Amino acid sequence: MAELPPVKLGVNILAAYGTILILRRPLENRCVTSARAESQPIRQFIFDLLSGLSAGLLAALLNAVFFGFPPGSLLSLIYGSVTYSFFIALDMSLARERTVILEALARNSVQAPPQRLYSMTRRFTLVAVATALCVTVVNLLVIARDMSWLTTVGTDPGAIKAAILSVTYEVLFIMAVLLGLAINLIISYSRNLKLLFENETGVLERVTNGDLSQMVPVATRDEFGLIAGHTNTMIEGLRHRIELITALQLAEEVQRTLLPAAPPKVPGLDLSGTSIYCNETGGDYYDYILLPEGRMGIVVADVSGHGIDAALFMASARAFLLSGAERYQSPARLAGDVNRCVTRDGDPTGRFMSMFFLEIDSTAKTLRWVRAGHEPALVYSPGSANFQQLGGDGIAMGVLKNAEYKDYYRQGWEPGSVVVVGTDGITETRNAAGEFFGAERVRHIVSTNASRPAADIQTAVIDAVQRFRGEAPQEDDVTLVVVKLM
Amino acid sequence: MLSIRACRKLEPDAKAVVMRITIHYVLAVVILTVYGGQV
Repeated sequence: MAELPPVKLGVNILAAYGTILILRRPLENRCVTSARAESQPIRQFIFDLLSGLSAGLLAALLNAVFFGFPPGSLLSLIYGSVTYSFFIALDMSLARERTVILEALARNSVQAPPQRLYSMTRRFTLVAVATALCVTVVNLLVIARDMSWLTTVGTDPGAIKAAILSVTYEVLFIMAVLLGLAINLIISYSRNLKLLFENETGVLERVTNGDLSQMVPVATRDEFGLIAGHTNTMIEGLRHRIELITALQLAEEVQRTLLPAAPPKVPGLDLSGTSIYCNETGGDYYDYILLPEGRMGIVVADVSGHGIDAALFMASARAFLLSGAERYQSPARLAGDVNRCVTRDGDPTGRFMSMFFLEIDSTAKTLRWVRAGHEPALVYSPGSANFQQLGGDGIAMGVLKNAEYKDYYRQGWEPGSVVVVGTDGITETRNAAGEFFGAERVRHIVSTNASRPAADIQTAVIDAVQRFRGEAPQEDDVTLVVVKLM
Repeated sequence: MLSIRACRKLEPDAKAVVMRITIHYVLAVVILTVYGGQV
């Protein structure tokens, strides 16, 4: 065996590998590339391992037939072939995985997390253990053969020196081959990892910059595929949230149009009002309604809770109110009509609404109002420098369908009197220490600013409320209407 | 995120794969001829 010339030995091995190489391409198309993308790398590995085994068996068969190889040498040849095929299979499998990754990136289609996970750490452990075993067995075989051979060298110093040199070259050759194969695998694996990292980090950078247009293609069934899938789920969630925020902003715009853009010009009255919502949409409402015979209606309402549901409730209540105002007779009749409609709509949700409606007749100098569970309005008389409440009884709307409301009436006012109608969001505003803004602060600001226009009084109160709240979150909608009676 | 053009540029075409396996097989023949068949 040892005396067999390398060229003669190589012819059979070359014939075996050449045959397998020719058959390999069609078989590969059938067994590997026609399979689903995610299973191609493992199929490639098995295919190349079996191809190497087949080449080794064929080479062994040819050598047995033509040169009468002994069984031990045949097994050695087959084992050497399988060992080398193991490295070929790993390399080709990594190349196949790279192709699959690049195709997935180009298609950008698969975006769901893999259903079945092939752990990267588990695969790595298996490959490392198998590699270590192969290398160890190769080394043991070589050492065993060399030890056996050295016993036949004899005692001649020249022969011993030549034998030592031969063994050294052999060990160096084996080490060089194994090192080359290992380096090749490391480079191949690094390229795959680089692709997968760039794939993930590239999309995450875009997401960080607010670009949610790209998803991460799920190219593997390992942890990278899982991370990519979860990243896509996260991007979907972010897209959904942005859609919701956009819808809420749109709802806010729509709701803003339900509030008066500017107060009407009414002789003898100076009007100003505002609503500041704690969310994009709110449950507070105010309006100025022109009533028959030149009278002016001021309405301030507060739906329980806040947010999109309160805003919808408020929108329907506003429609009932404006519809009722078409047939206006008195504040109490209007409140009764609105209450019936609101109770019918609000009953399944449990929502209710407080309302204060003030009718001002600037010609007759009369005030008529109804109070439906709302904060009383305040009237400040500058001459006497005192406050009076426009109070009265009345249950909140949406609670009792046939609730009765009562008109309250006041005749006359001092020129320059200030009427303030607000929601509890003003008095119940809390600062970081948990203190309430309270009605006393409102009275103080109104009294000290009473000589100024209604818009200035309103701004002074709202600014004071916001300063008082400081960094604390706004917990409720804030609405304020100021009327200056001339 | 790699662009499609970059993907195509990096994509190992069939010719490269054939060359890769051919080199592997030639090396296998050499190694097995020199040592593999004798171990």
